[in-house]
Amino acid sequence: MDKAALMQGKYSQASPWRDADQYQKWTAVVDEKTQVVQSLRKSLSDGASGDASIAFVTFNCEESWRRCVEDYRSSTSCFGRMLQPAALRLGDVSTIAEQPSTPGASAVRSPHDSRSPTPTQVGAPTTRKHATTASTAIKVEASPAPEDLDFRNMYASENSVCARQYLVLAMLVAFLMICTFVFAASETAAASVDASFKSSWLCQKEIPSSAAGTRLVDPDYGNLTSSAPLIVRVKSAEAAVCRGGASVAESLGYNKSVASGDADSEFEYEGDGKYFLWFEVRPAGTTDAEVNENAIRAIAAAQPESLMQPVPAIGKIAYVDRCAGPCVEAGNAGLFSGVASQISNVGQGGDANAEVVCPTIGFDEANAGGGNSEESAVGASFVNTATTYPPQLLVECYCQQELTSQVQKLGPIAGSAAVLSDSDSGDVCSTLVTGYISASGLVILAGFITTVVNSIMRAVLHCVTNLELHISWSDLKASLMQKLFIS
Amino acid sequence: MVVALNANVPLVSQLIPQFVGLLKGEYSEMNDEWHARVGVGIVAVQLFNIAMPHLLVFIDEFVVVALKRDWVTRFAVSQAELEQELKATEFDLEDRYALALANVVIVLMFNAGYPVLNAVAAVSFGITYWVDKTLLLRVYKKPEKVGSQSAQYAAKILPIAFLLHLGLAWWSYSDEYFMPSTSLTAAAVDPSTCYGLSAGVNNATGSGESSKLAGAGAHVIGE
Repeated sequence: MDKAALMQGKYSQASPWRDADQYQKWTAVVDEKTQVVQSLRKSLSDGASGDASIAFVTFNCEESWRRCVEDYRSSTSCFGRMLQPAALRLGDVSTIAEQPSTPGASAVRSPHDSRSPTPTQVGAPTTRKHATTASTAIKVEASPAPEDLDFRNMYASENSVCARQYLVLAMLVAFLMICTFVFAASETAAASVDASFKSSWLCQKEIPSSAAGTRLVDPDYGNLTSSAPLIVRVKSAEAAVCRGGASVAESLGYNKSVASGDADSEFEYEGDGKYFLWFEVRPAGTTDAEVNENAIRAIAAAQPESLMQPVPAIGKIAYVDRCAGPCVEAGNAGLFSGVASQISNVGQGGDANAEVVCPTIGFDEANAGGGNSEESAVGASFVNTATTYPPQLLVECYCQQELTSQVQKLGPIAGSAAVLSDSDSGDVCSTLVTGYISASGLVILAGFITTVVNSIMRAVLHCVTNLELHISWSDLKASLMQKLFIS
Repeated sequence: MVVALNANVPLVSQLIPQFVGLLKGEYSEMNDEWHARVGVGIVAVQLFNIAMPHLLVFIDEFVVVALKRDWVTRFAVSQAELEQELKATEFDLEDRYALALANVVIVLMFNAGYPVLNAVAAVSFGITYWVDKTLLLRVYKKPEKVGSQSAQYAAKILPIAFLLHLGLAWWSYSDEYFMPSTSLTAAAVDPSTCYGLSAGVNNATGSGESSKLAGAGAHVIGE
């Protein structure tokens, strides 16, 4: 407007550069600007009905400042302003006392105004007078300390800041969802690894004890007598104990060279025509090389022939009296004619043509191992019963045993490779080992991805928080802290 | 996140889209399998967090920054560049605050089921205090003054953490295997037993039945 007034004077009749056309043009501009200024002044004088209503209020003492901030603590939210008490609202001019200027200030804003105070308002002694009786909720925020202000963001509009904050929030949610899916994938992979392995109880106790047939537990392990059962497994002991004190360990064995119908394999089970699995018994602590036929025969010699005998072709011991349950489906128990009688001998009853009920070990925690867990007193002992097990389950137990053993000896990678390359176990265990390798790799990959995503998110959060145009450094740090905490 | 992925809360999970997979886990209660698989992980992470954040800070400050300074002192082309790179690093208050707050919330959430987390948190905060104090006084440059926004945010979070603590405590203590409880019988709610609690205890004289009734009476009064 000042420029227009100067140009008007330049082209006036009293000027050496007088020009009637230019004079009329700039006169029109001056009139237009004057009208605009007058309308602005009028709107400003209308008080509450005007748009510009932001004040930088100063107080005489800090207590007053704290009182004001406390009274208006809920004014920053829409809901808080809706419920703002009438005494705190902007109303009649007579209700507003004039305040002299002192250091310490609060910015008082109308919720509809731009957040940027004009230079004349900031730090100036301010008393707003409003010529209306209509009350308006006002928003009061404590102004940051001058050294805390980020002056670059002073003039950002509230809408811009709000939009940016929502944008950053959306990015944060997206990152969190990605992390959630990655984390869930790793959890699923870990669960799949667990699920691919059968419970140790099932493989190491339930099935072996069923395979061994009748086993009676002497409640008092130390008082074994000659009339005690052949194999005694004491509570919490992992190894079976032969009569005479010789400890034996049980594990699943596999020999693919034994074919169906082999004269020596009267105890074999042909699960699907490929597998021959048995429970070998050997002195505890011995290795495969140390297990020879003589040692096994020495153990077997102490046992009644009707219960236990070696398999000459293989040189390992198979249970003669093992229950058909672990390997034979229901109704297919004819391989072992003695099964039914054994069952009846221990008071369980049974039918060779019906589903085989295998007497199992009788621990005190009878229900822990699953099965039917029907307890029946046999002398001073207890015998539980278990149902039959599908052949594939026995194969999985065998593969799990081999994989666990090799992994413990050689580590996850070399151990898995050793199982796969083994001439015996490689073909039957390839599915389980491959699944183990895939799942383990997925777990490692998911953990790595999670770490990478977290690092990226951390760096990105530092960047995107700057986009929110916080008015003070403290707000910026608080916002970043919130995001880091949530993430 | 761990709880949301492993817990199974059918009533709530029905409200969540299927593909999200939250609250559809394997465990409907904090049983032994939960403790063996999930609980061990939670405690292990907290143990891990005792030292790992500080280790990363030390690596960053004494390895990465030291190497960077060594590089700059060799190849800086101006005094200003040299001075800029040799300035002390800033103390990341927001990182430390977020970590401390996360530790507090996690411990509050799970310490009912895993009381060892209280000891872990005490050790963690003790180490954090000394590490931050040492680094602030010896390594970092003087931090700028900041407002109370972070503290106010933490104060807002704590009640939420307390509610989570109550919920998870209720969940963990409701497992019948670890916290077996007997049903309240009709005899136990006999009004005379309730009102005569002290007399019942005094007159019990070692009788198991009287003691049981007195105990049940106390349970009723307590409720």
